[in-house]
Amino acid sequence: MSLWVDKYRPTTLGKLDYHKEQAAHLRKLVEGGDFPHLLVYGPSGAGKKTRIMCTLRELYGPGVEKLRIEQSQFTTPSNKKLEISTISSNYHIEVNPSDVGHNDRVVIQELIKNVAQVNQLDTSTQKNFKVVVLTEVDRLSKEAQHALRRTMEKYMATCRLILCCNSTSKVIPAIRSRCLGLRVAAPSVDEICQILTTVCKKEGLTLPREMAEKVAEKSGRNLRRALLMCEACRVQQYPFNPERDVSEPDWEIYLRETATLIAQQQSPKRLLEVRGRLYELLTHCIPPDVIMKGLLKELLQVCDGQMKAEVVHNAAYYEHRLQQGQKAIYHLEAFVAKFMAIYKRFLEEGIADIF
Amino acid sequence: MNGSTKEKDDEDIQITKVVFGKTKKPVTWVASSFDSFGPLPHSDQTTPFSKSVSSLPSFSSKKRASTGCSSSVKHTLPCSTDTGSRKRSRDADKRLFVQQALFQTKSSTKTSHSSDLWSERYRPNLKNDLAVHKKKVEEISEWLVKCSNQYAKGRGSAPILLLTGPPGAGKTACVKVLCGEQGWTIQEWSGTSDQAADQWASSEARTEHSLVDTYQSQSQSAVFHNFLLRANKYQALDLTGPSLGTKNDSILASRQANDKKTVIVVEEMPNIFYRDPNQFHDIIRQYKRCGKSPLVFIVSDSNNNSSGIQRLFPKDLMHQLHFDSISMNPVAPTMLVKLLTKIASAESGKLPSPSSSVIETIAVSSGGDIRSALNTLQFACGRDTLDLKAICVVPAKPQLKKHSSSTSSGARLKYGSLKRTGIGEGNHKDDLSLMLGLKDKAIFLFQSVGKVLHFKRGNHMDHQSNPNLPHHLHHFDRDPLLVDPEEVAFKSQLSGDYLTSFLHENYVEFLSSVEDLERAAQYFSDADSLSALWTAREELQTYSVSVAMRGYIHSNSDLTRHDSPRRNHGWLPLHKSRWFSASKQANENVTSARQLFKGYHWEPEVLCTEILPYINLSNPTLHDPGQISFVQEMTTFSRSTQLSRSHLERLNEKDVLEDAEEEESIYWKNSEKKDGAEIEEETNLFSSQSKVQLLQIDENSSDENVVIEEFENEGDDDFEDLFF
Amino acid sequence: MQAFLKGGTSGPSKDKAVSSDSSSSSKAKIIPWVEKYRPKTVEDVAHQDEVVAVLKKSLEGSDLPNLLFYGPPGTGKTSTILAAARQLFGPELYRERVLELNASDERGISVIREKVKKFAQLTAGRARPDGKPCPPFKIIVLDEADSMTKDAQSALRRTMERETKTTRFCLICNYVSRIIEPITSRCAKFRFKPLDDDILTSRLKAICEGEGVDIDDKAVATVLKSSEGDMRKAIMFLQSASRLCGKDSTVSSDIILDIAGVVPGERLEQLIATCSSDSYEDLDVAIREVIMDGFAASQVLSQLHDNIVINESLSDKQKSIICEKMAEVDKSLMDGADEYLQLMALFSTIMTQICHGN
Repeated sequence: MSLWVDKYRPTTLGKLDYHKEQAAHLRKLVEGGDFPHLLVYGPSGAGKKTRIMCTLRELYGPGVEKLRIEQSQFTTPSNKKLEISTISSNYHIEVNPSDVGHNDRVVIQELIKNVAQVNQLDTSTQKNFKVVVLTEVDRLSKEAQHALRRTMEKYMATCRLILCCNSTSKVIPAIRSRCLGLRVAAPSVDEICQILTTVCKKEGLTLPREMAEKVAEKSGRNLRRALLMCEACRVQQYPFNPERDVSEPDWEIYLRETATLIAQQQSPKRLLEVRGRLYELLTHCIPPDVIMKGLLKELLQVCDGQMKAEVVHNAAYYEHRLQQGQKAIYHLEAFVAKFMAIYKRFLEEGIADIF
Repeated sequence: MNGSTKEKDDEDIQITKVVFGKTKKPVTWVASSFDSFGPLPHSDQTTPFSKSVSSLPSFSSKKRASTGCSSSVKHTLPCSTDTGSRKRSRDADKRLFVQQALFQTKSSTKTSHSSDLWSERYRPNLKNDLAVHKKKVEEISEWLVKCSNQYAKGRGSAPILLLTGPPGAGKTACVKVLCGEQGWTIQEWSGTSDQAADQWASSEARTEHSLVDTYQSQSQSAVFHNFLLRANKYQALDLTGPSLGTKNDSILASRQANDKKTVIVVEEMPNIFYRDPNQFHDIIRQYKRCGKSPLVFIVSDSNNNSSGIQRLFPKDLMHQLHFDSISMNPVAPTMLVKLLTKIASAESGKLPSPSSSVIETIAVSSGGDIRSALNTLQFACGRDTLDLKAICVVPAKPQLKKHSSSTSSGARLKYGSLKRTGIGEGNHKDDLSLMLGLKDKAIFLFQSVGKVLHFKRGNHMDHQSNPNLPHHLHHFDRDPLLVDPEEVAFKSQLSGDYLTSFLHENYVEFLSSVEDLERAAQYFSDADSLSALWTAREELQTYSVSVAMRGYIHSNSDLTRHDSPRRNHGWLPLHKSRWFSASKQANENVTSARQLFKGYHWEPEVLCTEILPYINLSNPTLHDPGQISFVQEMTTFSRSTQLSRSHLERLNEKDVLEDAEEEESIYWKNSEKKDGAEIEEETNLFSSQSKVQLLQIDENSSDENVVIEEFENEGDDDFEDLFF
Repeated sequence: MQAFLKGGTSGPSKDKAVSSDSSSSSKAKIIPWVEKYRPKTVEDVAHQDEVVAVLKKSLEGSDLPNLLFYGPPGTGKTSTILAAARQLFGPELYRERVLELNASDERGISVIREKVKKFAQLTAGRARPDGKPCPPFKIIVLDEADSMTKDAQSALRRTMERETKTTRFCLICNYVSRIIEPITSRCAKFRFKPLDDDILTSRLKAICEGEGVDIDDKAVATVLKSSEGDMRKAIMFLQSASRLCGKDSTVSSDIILDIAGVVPGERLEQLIATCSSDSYEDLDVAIREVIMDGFAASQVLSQLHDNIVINESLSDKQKSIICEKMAEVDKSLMDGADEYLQLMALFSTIMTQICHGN
């Protein structure tokens, strides 16, 4: 049995629950026969991939749902072997080129070349192109993006690209201008509520309205997360009780505890303790920017007015460095130390004011 | 008699070997394997010229040996037919040598000796001559006695000893002397020459070579294997390989073996084992099963191979095979001074004797390396001491560092004297330091980190040039540093990146206020940001370390003056950087997450932050056991408050980087890409993992003892001094 | 589904015919409008009078200097040189006389040198096959020359000198400052101005007519606004919008906005209004909403910039502080920093300036 997220994923454009207008546009696009490269962007959990799969199905029929997971091998010019896992059907292939780090350029070029050179042999469809779906395009190196741009033009006749990313800020303009951009906004809280209710109905469960709202609210407009939360609640407490808290992932709780530790005491000893916890989070594969944002969110609650701005600035500052540098821990720790100093000053001023 | 004379014999052969360059270790390559048959022409130890011949790349002689053409050069394989007669004459030789050896410390009997290296001539022959710490001598001696007992009983597996220590600490000498005294015969594996030949052959002229030399085609490990097993079986060995079929020798050797106790000494490891330790381990295990003779491994743990030791002799293997392990320390400067004075006075008949201050300087600068000290002394005596001063180079600072960095114990003497004379004077005295014979030894990681963390400041008054800061910047005013961070970084021979990460792991405990923390943390962040641009990363590396080190030092507002009271934090153990293991772990987790949950094909970030935690919350029973345990592992966080320190890897005094090569590879990897996000960043770091050899804390306790022991020896309880 | 069934349901042979048919028909469609409506002659090039005048003269005299075109994207740089070349050589010779190199994928020194050398060595005749005279040289077009490495540029310098007799170079770039001095001094430099709205409008309308796109004036205005004087972008938007809408419906301004990823003006106003509220919590919510709606931070930034600069309620000093922060944020975003944090930092600066600036 699969997770609800997978189980109730819509498979055709017609079945999509929200942004129906966009779905209609996509259908027209497919009907028009002139299918451009697509750049699908939007926040995590907004349903980008679902939308892509629906579009592919619209293009090629149910054949695209027969997926295989494969390991493809590539050889770099320096004769290094790269392995990357791909998900493909007869009509399309999906890769996450950022898996191979700085070798992404090679993978992109080779992959698209391979796909483009093998003609669509299946005569049951009249589409004369294959589709390459690239995920996390915003994590591609600039070289790879340039290569991509060139490849896009070169193999236009036999293959189309669907690029998928969270934000177009990190995609070079040359690519943006060659693709039809599709913004997939996150579903609104109401929309999430509705989906949760329908899913629960299909499962034969009753979901109180308040509960649905609570979950939707908590998910931060992330549909995937909302569904996962809902399912977790279902396992832990059924019938649903809106009074009870929605269960959270352990790392979030842990992060919150860490923030509390920081606010409680400002000392070298405490910093060491916090560092230990940061490492713990990092080893559990929580990305450092997520840690940073989580910490900020919790820490801001103990700050007031002007101080908030200062803390936010520092968070932004260190997060930027963290993206640039090599060792995330330095920057996370610097942020914590900074906060400690700011907060301590604030407390001391507060005491001074009292007396 | 037989055993002990043979021992001396060996040494004499060695004398003939080491002529080129004092850096070269005396190597008894083939000699030891032949000494039970081959007489040695007396002329062997005569003129420097003939010696230089013998120290030619040994493969030439080996080649001759294997092709069977006996030549006039001494180390050829003797024909078995004339062994008897030669043996007799050899015995005579031996007796003569012994006499020489015994008396040579008192006076140099032969004029030709003046051209010998003193380090060889004054090789210790008696236990009392050893300049090694008594305790260590005792330890080795006890071990040998234990072996002896076991040997007498007949049964039991072969005892194995691992003897480590810095070069020139007297490891080999110690073993040889003690073996001699207790009547053991030494079988020595000599790897270097073979390696050299092997490498030469492989790179340059393999094809040409293989025509004449069947030996070369044999792999090093096989040769080593054969050596050990044969040495064990026949007691004498034939290094030229089985292809020659030296049956007669073997029989002869085994006959001799009956009345001899043999120790097998392995000094140089075949290179191949560093690459593939498992092969080595298999051989050792096999030896342990069937071997009888005690086996001694002598490995010098200089910077270059200390982690190699850990790889070749992992703790679990040592435990499993009941290894004994003795670690030698550098020779104490006081002992060295004593020894040097003795030798200098012995030589004073012919040469002007250097002053005691010169001797002291030599002792300190040698860094506890007897061999180097003796070589320096010999050189120093060769000329007038005035000349000696001329060789000295004036700038005191860097030299000071060189001395102080060479080893902790050696340097402490210096500082001990500094303390007595007062700092100002002490600095002045340093000007006389010798460039000569200076051991340009790198500092261990432990010391590098320690030197920066326990930095010291000098007196402000001594440095007039220091400009006064304007009033509003007054709080940034600091006394001049006594430690030069760049020098430390340079000496540590580590990549800046790596050194910084160790500093980062440890700096927090040295700061007391949150403001200092804030500043120091900021500097570490700065240091890392400097490496952001991969095109300039290599150039900026050095600056990056400087920023980190000086940033920390300046941030430490407790120690702004040379006489600022030090917070008594006592002995703070240093820890290894967790970053590398953490990122490795994270990377592994991502990989296994993706493998285990392939069917979900999510991006790694989503998988780790959303899917897995919720799978854990909802219904883990629906997945296979591997997935379940992984999910649980990924969602459990350690909440212990002591999490930060207790289970951490302690930084060991001898811990070093393994391989420059691997360092390179990270540079390369990182440099190629820049836009990537964390996950890839971690992938890049992944390769750097293997360089950190991790030791659990309990395993390190013995090393910790060593540190403390040294303190007691010197009677100095100032912890910081360890780093100066 | 219908689209999928449209083609070959009968035998394979027919199928093939159909598919080739459809492919040829779709090929006609596939030509992007950007290519389709490229100016055919130098005179057609819009708005770049200076360049056109010089080129015209050169065309009459059948000679060309080395050229360096620079200016913002979508102002007709590539179109101009291609049109000029076509006029010079005519359609037959065009292929063998013009080499287009895209620097961004082939920027190694050796590649440049080799290709250029090979191409430059071919001799060029003085006549066209149709008898008209034509200049005895070839043209090498180096697109995106500013992304060439310094080394490659220096290599090019020598090649340029050596091949003067037979070859003319045309370098095209966005930023002339990234071209090394020795090269710029060897070329006739032409700056391409961003296109005026009038010209854009007329062109777009012409295209719409040609393609039978139903579009209202408001939508055209939106296209203009979101394309920022970039003709290519404008045409791309137009084509994409018409694709999405299909043949029969009107292209609305909303859909253009959506394709362009532009943040609606009201959204931006709302954000700035939130800043004036001096409530950090409100700001936090507002920015999260913007991000959740999928707007790119860089887009928000560029639109916000326009807004701030003309905002009358802010003093010059406040503006300068805000703009400085914007620059910082823009750089950070380029480096891949988190969008939420950067926007928060920016807007909290604005909030501070609006509420506590004086």
